[in-house]
Amino acid sequence: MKRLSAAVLAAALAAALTAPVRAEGEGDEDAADPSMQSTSLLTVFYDSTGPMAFVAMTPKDVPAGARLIREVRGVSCQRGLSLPTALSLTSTSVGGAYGDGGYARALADIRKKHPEAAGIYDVRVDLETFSLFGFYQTLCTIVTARGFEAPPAPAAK
Amino acid sequence: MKRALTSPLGLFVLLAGLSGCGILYTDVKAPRGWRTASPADVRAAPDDPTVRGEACARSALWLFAWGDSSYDSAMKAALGSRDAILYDVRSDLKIQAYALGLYVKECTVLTGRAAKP
Repeated sequence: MKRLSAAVLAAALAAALTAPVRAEGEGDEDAADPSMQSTSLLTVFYDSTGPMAFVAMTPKDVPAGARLIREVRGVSCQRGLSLPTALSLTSTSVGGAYGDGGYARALADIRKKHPEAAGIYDVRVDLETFSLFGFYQTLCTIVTARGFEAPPAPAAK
Repeated sequence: MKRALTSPLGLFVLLAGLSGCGILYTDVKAPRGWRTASPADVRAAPDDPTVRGEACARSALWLFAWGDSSYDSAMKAALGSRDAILYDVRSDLKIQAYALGLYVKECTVLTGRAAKP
């Protein structure tokens, strides 16, 4: 039995250290790969939105004559609560998750902060995880990009 | 020690540590995705410099995790004060773990070329 436990431990260690190491949303352009707030085993409520796929623009997609804005940033967050049912680290927890951490919300945040931006390109997407004692967690989608203003309309003749 | 590590609680603590999260406190930024530019997407020039940037997050004692290994941070480290755009980007993840994950350092390493925006 002890040998079996040691073998399981060794296998778990090996698996954890050699886990897939790419960014989880890499290749987002075509594949649906959501990042959702995790929750406890006993989920009382769940009303959460997370990022899944976003085909971002590259510099060549920027319209000719558009004025470039240096950098824009939008954030959207999911939140989770988890409470243990007993005073033990291995006890079951009850909890839930809520919030909108999706791309649409993050891009709306950019539009709100930079109403002059007509579009964005060179988009980096990062995830910020915050957790305090495991009771309260947030998972935020941070969209950082270069923005551009729409090119001026041609003068009427 | 061995018994502690092979108990369910020991396994839980160990896996929590290796997952890059702290049991008591976690505040980390990690990369999710970036549609990088190819040479055809930018005004590439033969003398565009090759740059490298690294951004790291750490965890200690399986209890605490902190740091910023985001694409944005790595890109800013690579470009420094240059007003440029990265293209032909290679993104790597470097993990260093010691003493059964008591200290883990995960870094996003970007290598690419910097073109004028």
